[in-house]
Amino acid sequence: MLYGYGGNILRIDLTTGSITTEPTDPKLAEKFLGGRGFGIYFLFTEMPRGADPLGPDNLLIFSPGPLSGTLVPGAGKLDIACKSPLTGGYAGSNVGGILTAEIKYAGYDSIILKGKAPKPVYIFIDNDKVEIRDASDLWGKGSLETEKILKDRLGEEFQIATIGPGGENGVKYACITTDYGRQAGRGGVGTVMGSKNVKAVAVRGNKSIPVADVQAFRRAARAMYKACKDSPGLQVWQRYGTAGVTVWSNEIGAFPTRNFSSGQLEGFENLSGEVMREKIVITDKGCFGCPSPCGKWSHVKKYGVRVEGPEYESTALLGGDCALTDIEDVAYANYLADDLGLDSISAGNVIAFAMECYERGILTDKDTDGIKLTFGNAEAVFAMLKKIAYKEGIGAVLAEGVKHASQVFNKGSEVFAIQAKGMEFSGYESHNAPSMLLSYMTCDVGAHHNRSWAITYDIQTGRDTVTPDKAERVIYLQHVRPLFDALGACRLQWVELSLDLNLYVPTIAALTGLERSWDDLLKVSERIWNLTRLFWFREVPGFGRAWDMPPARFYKEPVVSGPTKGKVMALEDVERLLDMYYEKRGWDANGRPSPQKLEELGLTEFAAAV
Amino acid sequence: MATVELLGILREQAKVRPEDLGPADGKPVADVIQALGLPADLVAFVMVNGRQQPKTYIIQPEDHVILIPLIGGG
Amino acid sequence: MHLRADSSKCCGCRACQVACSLANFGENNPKKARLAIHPHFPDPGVFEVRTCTQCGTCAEVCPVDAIPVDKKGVYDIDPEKCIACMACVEACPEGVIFVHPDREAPFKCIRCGQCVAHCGMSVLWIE
Repeated sequence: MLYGYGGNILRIDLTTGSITTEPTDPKLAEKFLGGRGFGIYFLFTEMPRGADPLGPDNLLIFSPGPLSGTLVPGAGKLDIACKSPLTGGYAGSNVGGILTAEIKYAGYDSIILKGKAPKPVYIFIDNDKVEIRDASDLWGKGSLETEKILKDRLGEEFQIATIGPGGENGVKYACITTDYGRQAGRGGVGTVMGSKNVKAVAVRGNKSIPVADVQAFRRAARAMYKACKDSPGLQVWQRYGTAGVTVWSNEIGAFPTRNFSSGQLEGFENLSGEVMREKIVITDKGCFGCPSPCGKWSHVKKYGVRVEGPEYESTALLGGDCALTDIEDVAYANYLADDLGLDSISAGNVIAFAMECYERGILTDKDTDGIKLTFGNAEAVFAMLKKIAYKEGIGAVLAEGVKHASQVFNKGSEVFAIQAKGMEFSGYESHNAPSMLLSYMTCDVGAHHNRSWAITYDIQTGRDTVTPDKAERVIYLQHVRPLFDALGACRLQWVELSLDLNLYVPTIAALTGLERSWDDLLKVSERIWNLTRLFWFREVPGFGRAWDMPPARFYKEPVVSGPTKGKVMALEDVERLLDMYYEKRGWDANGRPSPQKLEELGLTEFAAAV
Repeated sequence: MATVELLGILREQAKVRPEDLGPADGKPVADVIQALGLPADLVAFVMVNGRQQPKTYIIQPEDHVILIPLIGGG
Repeated sequence: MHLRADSSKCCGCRACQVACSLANFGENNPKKARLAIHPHFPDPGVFEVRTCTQCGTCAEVCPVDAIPVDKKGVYDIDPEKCIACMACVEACPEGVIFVHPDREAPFKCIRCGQCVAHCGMSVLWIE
């Protein structure tokens, strides 16, 4: 008995219609845990080298982790992995909601889709019953409408993942949505789903997750819930979710504003968590097992829509970066991105980039079909989201992401195309935050904050200094935070509520029956990190150090306003950060893991494939 | 009179105890943070009577002000 | 005295249901929980929590007297006596008598309070 797991790997070949299951290998569970560990393992071992991200050879892998669906605070995270059409490298996107728990109750630890269906389909999973069903009538519909139709048809207890028109039309940063508003947003996982002609996945399960020691597990889990409920931070996070960060982010000059040219938006008070709560929030909406729900269900009266959020990231990129200062405008843009199936982070960046091009005269009214693409123009943001999703006019270029768009527009625009590895930055302006900038540069999916969020470390240790401890801190965080993504749980109980990491150790032991220290688990996380790095080297010709560099704006163009006005990184400091980071990781000067490091992590066999 | 409460690491890092500070009424929250000897950027949230406020908020008599750090730090 | 809920505070996370199944069946499975959460999304956008009021309707309709009440006023289904006719499931005014394919007999809340202890949003209480 594999305690803590669903117990099976489900493989669906959409080309042939073949559906198979096999028991989850206990050795795999020990070596890669689950979640994103399983995602990269299957991607690395089962996807043919050099596969076209939008071709039938790419895989789309849904993996809960051992904690998913169990009595652990925040046990509601799912990893969705594939080769990214946005970056050409590894994509592992994390999404909350109830779906991950439902997949476990249906008995699965990974669901691996490959091939391409000849016509639009959805995947129906009801415990052991798995079918590929026709979805012709759903194709073309919005993400949210599709979920509603399927829930009405199949029953409320089915958990649904959908794509919108963005995913159908091949927008490179299309997302997968579940639970009416939680997204696996980053890296184009929705694009890959669309390329396989899969409109939705519907899952229901009613099996129990086996627990090795029920009484010990109950005691350990209860201690975790108690610690969360006693946390001083609970009142803030419960009331605002991540939107509580908006005011602080502006006060410290970290709020991406006008395409990352500033860190504070004038009028940011109007986007605060409190304004959002008062004006639009109806209900708190948590992921599975969550005592401090980020999810806020909102009614945007100005536009007559309901939307989950906006969360901090959507407010930062669709709000600050495009300079919108009305929470209802931001919420409506968030709604459009959700229903069209676009990652709100990348989409916000792309539109802010286009706005800067327009204000500099690189784009004109002729290019935009008459849309006045100026910062602060909410109507322009709404119009561009639709143009991108349907690839109309300039939307077809912007649908490829800022890196590609800057290569098309040229005229020096690559300096302010805010991306690393081809993925747009998430919501922390990092001209004056070396650890945070390094986090973006070295994140294994492209510029995302999920693997390391180090800005508080910069604040504590000095925002102008570049020292080896910053690289060390980033590496530490890149092992802790993604460990949660492998376990299938949320890290925010730790980040927000200071939930003691030591409380996870007895919980995991009682659940799985395997005694492992936190350090043992961190070693697994390091193994996963290095395997994703090898995947980049295997899949991207010429991959190396240049891919870890940020856009020149961060080291050439000082911040134009706000508390960090005038701040800019020196290029040699950026290079030095990378040097220190590679050295401490045991990687060479080009960022390739050394044979010794790979041996230490038990990855030598994988290195042979690179 | 308004009261000021510190949570988490702010309690350890403050150079002065809030109760030794004298009346906070009429002052912006930012001034109180400075008087406590705290780095302003470490204070992530200012909650006044259960509602979040910016650091420019002027403290009113009878307000209960809670300063909350970004605790997890990661 | 029975389990009560303020639905307006519920975030739909289901920790209560997992705590319930672990306490009462020793299994991690919210599909074996003894209280219900009905999400109503996208419109109007609320969670509805249903709990047992220990009203005794189930006992009244049970044809084989398999639902005794204890000194504290808690009704429970005796799986040995139960003939799985489902009369109680249909009669329950709150819709909180549950079935699961693993179990022949239905099951209901016995007011153990484990759900209350695990609810982060203070939705549940016993009064």
